Amino acid sequence: MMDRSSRAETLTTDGVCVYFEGVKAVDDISLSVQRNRIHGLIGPNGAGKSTLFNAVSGFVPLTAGRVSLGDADISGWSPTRISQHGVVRTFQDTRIFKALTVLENVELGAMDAGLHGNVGRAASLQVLELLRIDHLADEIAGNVALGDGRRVGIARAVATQPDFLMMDEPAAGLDEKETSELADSIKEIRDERQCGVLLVEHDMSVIFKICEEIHVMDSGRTIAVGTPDEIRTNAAVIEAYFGSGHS
Amino acid sequence: MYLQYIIDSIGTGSLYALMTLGLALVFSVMGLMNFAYGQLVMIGGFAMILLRSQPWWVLILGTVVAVVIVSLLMERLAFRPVRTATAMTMLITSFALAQLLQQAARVAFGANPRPLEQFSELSVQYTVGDLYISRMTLITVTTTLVSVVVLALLLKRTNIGVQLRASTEDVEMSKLVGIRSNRVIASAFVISGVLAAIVAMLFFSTRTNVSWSSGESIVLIAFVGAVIGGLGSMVGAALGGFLMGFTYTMLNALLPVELRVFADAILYTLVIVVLLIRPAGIIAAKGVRV
Repeated sequence: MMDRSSRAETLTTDGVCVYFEGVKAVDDISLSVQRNRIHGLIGPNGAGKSTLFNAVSGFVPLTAGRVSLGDADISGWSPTRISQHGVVRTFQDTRIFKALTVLENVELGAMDAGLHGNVGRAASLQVLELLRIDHLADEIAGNVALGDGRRVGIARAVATQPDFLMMDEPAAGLDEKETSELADSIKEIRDERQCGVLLVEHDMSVIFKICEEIHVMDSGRTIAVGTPDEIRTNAAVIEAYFGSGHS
Repeated sequence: MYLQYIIDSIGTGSLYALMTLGLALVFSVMGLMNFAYGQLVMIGGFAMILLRSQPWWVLILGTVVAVVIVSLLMERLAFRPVRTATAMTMLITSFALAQLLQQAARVAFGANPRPLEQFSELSVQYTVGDLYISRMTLITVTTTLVSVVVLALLLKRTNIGVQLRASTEDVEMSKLVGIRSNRVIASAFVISGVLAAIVAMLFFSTRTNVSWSSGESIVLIAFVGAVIGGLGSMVGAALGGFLMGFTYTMLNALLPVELRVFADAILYTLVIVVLLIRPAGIIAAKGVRV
């Protein structure tokens, strides 16, 4: 990873738009994620949250608007460059290296942070402990269960020492117990690594349990921003989730 | 008597396994079937001729350095510019490169095979009971085992090895974790070059000459070995190459004299049979890109 002399305090989008052949998948979204805070991004299916997530991490080009890391404009940067500057994402389908061991997967993250050899291994083991999968260190990553695979993907991202960790539906496909434990782990990562977290998640239990601020999207637009308590009682949110479209 | 055949066949099998590994390594890292690989072995042979009068360690070191340099130049000048092109483009580039190197060798060293003075110290035979084991067979088998172990340790234990295996599996993701593909691919070509140099030394030590066309049969064996072993799998490649060499020597030993001309035909028929039964090779690799 590149030398990052000062850690950025905010990851923000200003009026970000992503249009696909005239469809406004993301329409004028401005949000701000602070370091040391967990920020939730929710919305019904097709709300555009995944597209926004992909746009921020450089996987989808912006139609308009700007993404900034601290004072730096990172709009249009490649995913690799964005991740080198400390904004690191995870994937719903984990994208872990299945032929490598769990530890090797995380070591790649540590190497990215400039930690090689024994130092990198020690740092990786620490991250595995933080994620509570240190007992799987020598397993082939392709053989671990889905929930553990997600943790491997998160561990690899954490090992790169990100300033901002972006998680794409980390609880998808997990059972209730796994989901609750994962939520605890995300909080622990934030507490120990002091990074900002942007969490896209379907599972409301995770969002309401750990997020300090929640951004709600529907049909590409922001419909509400606030604390969990504010969002829980917000009329527009209730309408979007349980309103006319929902029987 | 059969035991004697088996010993001889293990020698050839080991050599073929090494040939296959160098080709398979580059294939698994960048999806490139490098048909110019055989020319690296040929260049190693000519390096041996040029260095024949030098002390043995100069000959070994010089041959390895020469082949590695050509291998790296190949990557930098020929393959890097077409890395993002289709597999077909890369394949044709490798054919063109093979031709270029062959013709260059022909111009430089002449159309006739150049004699290579024999290494008499290698032709010593040991007798164990009624078995004969040549020193060359022992050296070949030992070198192969050591090379395979070193390669395995390199891939398993070192940073570059882990990065190499990661980029083999998912290039895009490996870039995201900061793996510099240029460096990783160049390392694969260095390792492939070292293996080609070792193959050259083992192969030409038992030959009397080196020709500009010497690389052709070698790359064919390596290619077929890699295919039947399972493209993209290192273990499969070594196994495939070994089986090719082992079977070929056994056929030559066991077939009646009048049928020996068919050894190649029988070998390649067996290859077809193996591929009919296991189209992805003996050990099919996960996520092979072609």
